[in-house]
Amino acid sequence: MLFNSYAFILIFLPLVAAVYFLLHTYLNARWARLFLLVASLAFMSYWNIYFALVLICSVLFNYAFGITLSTFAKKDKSETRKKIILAAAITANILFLGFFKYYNFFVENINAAFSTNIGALQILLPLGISFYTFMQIAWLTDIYRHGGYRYDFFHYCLYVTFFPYVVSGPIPYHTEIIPQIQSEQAGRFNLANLCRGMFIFSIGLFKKTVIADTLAIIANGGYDTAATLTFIEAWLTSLSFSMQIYFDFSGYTDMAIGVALIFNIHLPINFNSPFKALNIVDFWRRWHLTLTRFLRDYLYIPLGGSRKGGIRTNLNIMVTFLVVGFWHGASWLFLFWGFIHGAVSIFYRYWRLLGIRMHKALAWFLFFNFFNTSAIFFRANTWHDAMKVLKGMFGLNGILISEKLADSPFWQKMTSFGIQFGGWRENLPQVDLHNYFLCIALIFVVLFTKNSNELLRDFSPNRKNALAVGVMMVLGLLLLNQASTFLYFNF
Amino acid sequence: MNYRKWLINTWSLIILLSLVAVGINFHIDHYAVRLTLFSPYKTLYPAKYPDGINEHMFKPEFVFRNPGKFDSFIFGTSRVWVIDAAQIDTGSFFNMSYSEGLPVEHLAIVKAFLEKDIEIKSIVIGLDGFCFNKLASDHETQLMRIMHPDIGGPNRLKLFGIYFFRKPDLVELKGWLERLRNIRPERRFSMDSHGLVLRWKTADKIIESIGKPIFDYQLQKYEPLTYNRRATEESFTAIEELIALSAKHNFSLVFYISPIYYQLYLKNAEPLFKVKERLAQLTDFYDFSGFNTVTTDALNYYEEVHFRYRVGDMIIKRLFGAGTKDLPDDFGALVTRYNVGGHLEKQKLELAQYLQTHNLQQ
Repeated sequence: MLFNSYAFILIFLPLVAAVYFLLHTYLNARWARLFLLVASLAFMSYWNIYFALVLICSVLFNYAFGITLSTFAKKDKSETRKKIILAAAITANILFLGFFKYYNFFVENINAAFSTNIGALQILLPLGISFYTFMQIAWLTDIYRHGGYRYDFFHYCLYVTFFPYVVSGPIPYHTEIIPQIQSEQAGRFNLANLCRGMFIFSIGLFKKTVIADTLAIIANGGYDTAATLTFIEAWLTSLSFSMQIYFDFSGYTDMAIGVALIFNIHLPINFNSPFKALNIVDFWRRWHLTLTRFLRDYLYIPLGGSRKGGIRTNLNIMVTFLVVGFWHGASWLFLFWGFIHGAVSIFYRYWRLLGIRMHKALAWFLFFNFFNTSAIFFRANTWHDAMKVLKGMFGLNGILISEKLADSPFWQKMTSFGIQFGGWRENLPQVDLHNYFLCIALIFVVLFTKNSNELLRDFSPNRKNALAVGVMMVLGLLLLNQASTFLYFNF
Repeated sequence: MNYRKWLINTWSLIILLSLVAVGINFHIDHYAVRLTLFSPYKTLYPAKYPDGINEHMFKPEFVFRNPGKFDSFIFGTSRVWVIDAAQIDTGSFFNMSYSEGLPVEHLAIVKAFLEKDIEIKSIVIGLDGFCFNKLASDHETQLMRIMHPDIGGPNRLKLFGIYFFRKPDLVELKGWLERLRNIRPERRFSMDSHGLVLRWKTADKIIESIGKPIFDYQLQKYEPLTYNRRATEESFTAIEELIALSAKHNFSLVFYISPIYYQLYLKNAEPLFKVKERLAQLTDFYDFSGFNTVTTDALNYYEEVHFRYRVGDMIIKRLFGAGTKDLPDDFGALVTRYNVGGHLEKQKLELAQYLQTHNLQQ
């Protein structure tokens, strides 16, 4: 079930919220939580019951590992045994994820490299597996490191399966969610949280259905359908995708935060105006924050972080970014995307050592263009598609501008630089003219307006935001008929 | 403002704005879905509707609301619009054609007619490249082509949401204003009581008065199409099932390949050869495509896709054997499993000669 669907907005969410609070009021917290767990599994099963079964398996074996580890930690057994159990648990999780997500990728590459004929598996990638696997690895590692965190089985299940984030994040830590689930407040209906939740949900819905899905038409046409792209077409394609992925994923996150808030659960923020970033380090402190902090806390720092010399730091950075890339998908393109982010992070590390200060505007311009170019490898389905967009952006397929400019002396002079008059959007889908430039207008929006977390923080009920929520919600609802899935469902 | 008041205000606004949007869409009814599915009238008269209504819904509903009036049906894509069913005297024919009509959709409609005890004496199906290159599933999201709810389309509640609970469209609003002010009446959908679409009548008069074609279409490069394999399979499966149904329910079933304008035919010729070869193994059919007196004369077309009413009349004559002596001999060959080889050899030779003389190699 999609957040951006009538079934979710008009039936599932109001019904689950109403029953949850009624159970809490008239029965007790345990029944209410049990209902929420069942609802979360039903939410997953709505797509495919097999997704829910995979999730249940993952929860069961992780809980067993966690309890075992916690018992050993409590009894103060030897460090080696704890290490073995943790290693076994993490290996089991990686194998579990690897089987569903990476098996076919490895088989394809082995077949290609060694001319073997190992059969690929005909399996669907279970939704959310990349997210809930990381959540549980974090819990197991925390038990190993600190001991404790021995949770009630239902609370643990609800933490992992809670429907607002189970499919596409954020990736909250158990320390952030389970205490909230256990608290008395969680079960009490809170009108302020309902209004605040509705406020941020409407922003997310608007971002997804009005903005991201409009940008998707151009991005999909440019990447998947067009045989060739000229200069303007290629830039519009790449910029449309860069904006699409931000509005799509941050829209999903806003909706998840809003839905959780209705149940009095506060989720960690996942985006903090990433396109205001001036360099790659700044960017990863603003983009998909919960993934970044997981990899920092449970991969980069355990590998040694920056504490073991320059070369080892570079290696740790590169490993972390390769994992980021591969986590997003089983393809060489994602790995390459991770690699270039790793390489630029290492470059930036040395740049900082030089102590040269760059003007903010130039720094923003350089980094934004790096992100936009690297996103080509993130989005393209094949190397050929990626090269098609890159070639276009570098003007290798010609620079065409509108014939309407042919009378302008300035543009006539520009023809001596290879600019020609003609079909500047011929290879892109035919949409209203303003939609082609939406991606450019949005750059100013993301640069000069508050993000949804800031808006939520400053929220107080007034006429202005009632009108804004009303309009955003209605536009979002009216556009639901053309609803598409969220990009991050693929990861 | 307190939270309770804010919530009431916001939801009131959401409901109000939603109702306004639904009201606008319901009133404009650009695709004639209100008229088709939600109108209480026994007969459907679409004269006030814009060109491009959803005929996938409208025409079957027209038949449902006129039970016993028709016992024979002509199916096909928009190319079949111009076939005047009233001229055929071997049954009470209704022209069921609609934009991008596909065999799998025709099959669903025929099944629905049989389920609703509509007697079927004859069915004629016009085929062309679209039928083997488009998937019926593509139509599921196209407002002009979503299928009737009783023939495999979404249920009425869902259709209400799809058509009316959506952002009002500026183009539709503009069209509605034009209709209100009676601007460009020729852009309205009109159909006679046998399903003949009258949209080309004005163009027909213009061609008659100026005596020359009103379009210019020249193929720049010879690039034969490759039809979508899934779509081809989907259509052949439907054709096989239609043939089985005709035997089971004892109605006559005639297939023909439309007279495609020769410049457009160039792209379709090669994939069509394969289609014709396969079709001939299943059933006899008439082939009006290829290089012949009609298809090579631009005067017989409104544009490169749609042929004229007079060509529709010629097709009827050939299919039903009336007045065939007035027809050019090369227009409409009956293809059977026995002569398909020779027929295709001849068409391949004609294609090769054309490409050679016009220097149109790939």
